[in-house]
Amino acid sequence: MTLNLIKAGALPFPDSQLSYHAMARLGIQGLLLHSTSDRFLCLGSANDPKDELDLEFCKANDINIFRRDIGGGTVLLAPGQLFYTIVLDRSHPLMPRGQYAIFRKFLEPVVEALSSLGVNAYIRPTSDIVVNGRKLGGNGGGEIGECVVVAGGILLELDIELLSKCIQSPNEQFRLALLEGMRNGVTTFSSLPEDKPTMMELEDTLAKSFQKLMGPMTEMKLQGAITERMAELAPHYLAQETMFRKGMKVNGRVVKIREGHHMIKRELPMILTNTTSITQLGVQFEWKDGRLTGVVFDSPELQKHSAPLNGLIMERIQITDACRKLLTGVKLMNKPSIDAEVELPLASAFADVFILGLET
Amino acid sequence: MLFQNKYDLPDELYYQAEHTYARVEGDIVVIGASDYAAKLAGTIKLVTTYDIDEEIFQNKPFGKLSSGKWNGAMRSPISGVIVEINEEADDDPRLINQDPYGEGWIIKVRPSDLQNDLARLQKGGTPEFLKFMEKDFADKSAQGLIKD
Repeated sequence: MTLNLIKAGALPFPDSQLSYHAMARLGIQGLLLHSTSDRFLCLGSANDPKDELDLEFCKANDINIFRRDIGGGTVLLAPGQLFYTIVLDRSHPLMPRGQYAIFRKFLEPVVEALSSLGVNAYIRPTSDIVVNGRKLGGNGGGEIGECVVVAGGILLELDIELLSKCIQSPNEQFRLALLEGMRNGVTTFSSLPEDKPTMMELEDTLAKSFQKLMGPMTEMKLQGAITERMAELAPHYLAQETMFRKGMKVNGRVVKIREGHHMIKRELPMILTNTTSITQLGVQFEWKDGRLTGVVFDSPELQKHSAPLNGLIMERIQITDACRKLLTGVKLMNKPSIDAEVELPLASAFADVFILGLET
Repeated sequence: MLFQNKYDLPDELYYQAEHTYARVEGDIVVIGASDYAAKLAGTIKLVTTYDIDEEIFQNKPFGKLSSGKWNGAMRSPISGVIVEINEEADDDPRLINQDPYGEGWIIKVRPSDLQNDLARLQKGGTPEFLKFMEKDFADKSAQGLIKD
């Protein structure tokens, strides 16, 4: 049975998100390509808007919020971005098991499409599309009903300043650092030397590339049963209790040792090791004059269990350098070869510490 | 490396094909994610389940585990009605990674068809279970999802 290809054009809020939720619940499999006519914030299932966003700013600027049923981070969706969503039954022969394999498989067509447009992109595990070390697109995924959904977007343009204002910041210093970090860490087609494709060119290129992987598709319109289900789903997804349901917690503790020098004690979120067990690890961060000057791991377990870290950041100077780069907005450990299951929790820990550090 | 050396999969438990477990405690069944599932999921950041008194069905979702980027369904090993949710794991999902069979249990269920459901599950330590796990482990290792 051939899969479906839906080129939905520019969808308004909240149809942009309700569309693939409806497809998945109906078991309509295939590829959805669309853009949006509105700007709005879209949060992953684990992200609570109360923790993530400056809700007053969003309200004052008429920026809507949607909390999707799949993973991934907080993104500002707006005109100038193209979104692709793969919806496949979890038992479909094309569907591998496990998030890493799924992202790897279904992001390859995106990389290939960008390559055919002259852009040398690669996948930074788990799920970023990266050009010259900067993120051109992010992705999230998960299961909705009996289907697996992978959703992502390519940035032709992005209002980074606006995004930095939507994200909750403890103070203006933090927001400016965030803005600088995003400017250094995110790119768009508009800022690349390659010719910026039109939305239609990008859409056609992506459709071709995905069909190489998924086979020829049958074009269908976003109508009938899908739009009916979207209308049924809308009250649920737009309800306050859905939007503000519980999200993940961020833990950490900052101890001021003396003026200008803080010790941050934080448990790493657990490293999935390559050996026998998941290990809870401690790490201390030394701060001076608002800069990270050192990182000391409490436990030799890190060295014992996390082989991919050996030779990469275990040297103190390398750790410090990694943190310095993070502080200036360069993504930690930008090396495609690193084990994603190690990189992500560690990068997340550093990012959290970065936030805590600025809060003090 | 053998999967037995990497994962704690107690013989007395029953396992669903997607690596949730069932532990029978009198007329109640404790359900959680196996050590294998918890490690594959990475750091679990959020767990959501159906509500108390909701009916759940064997091999169908009863909640989700989120690792941030991914929001995956947990499938129930048995059918029944949820009678208790582990609030501590709900509050600190890392318990599921740290102690999946102890403090990291997820829900307790009053089963509706226990003997038939158990007959369709894999019992820990049996040759069939070991064979199933060996294949799953080999497949995931081949995909690069598990490294020594």
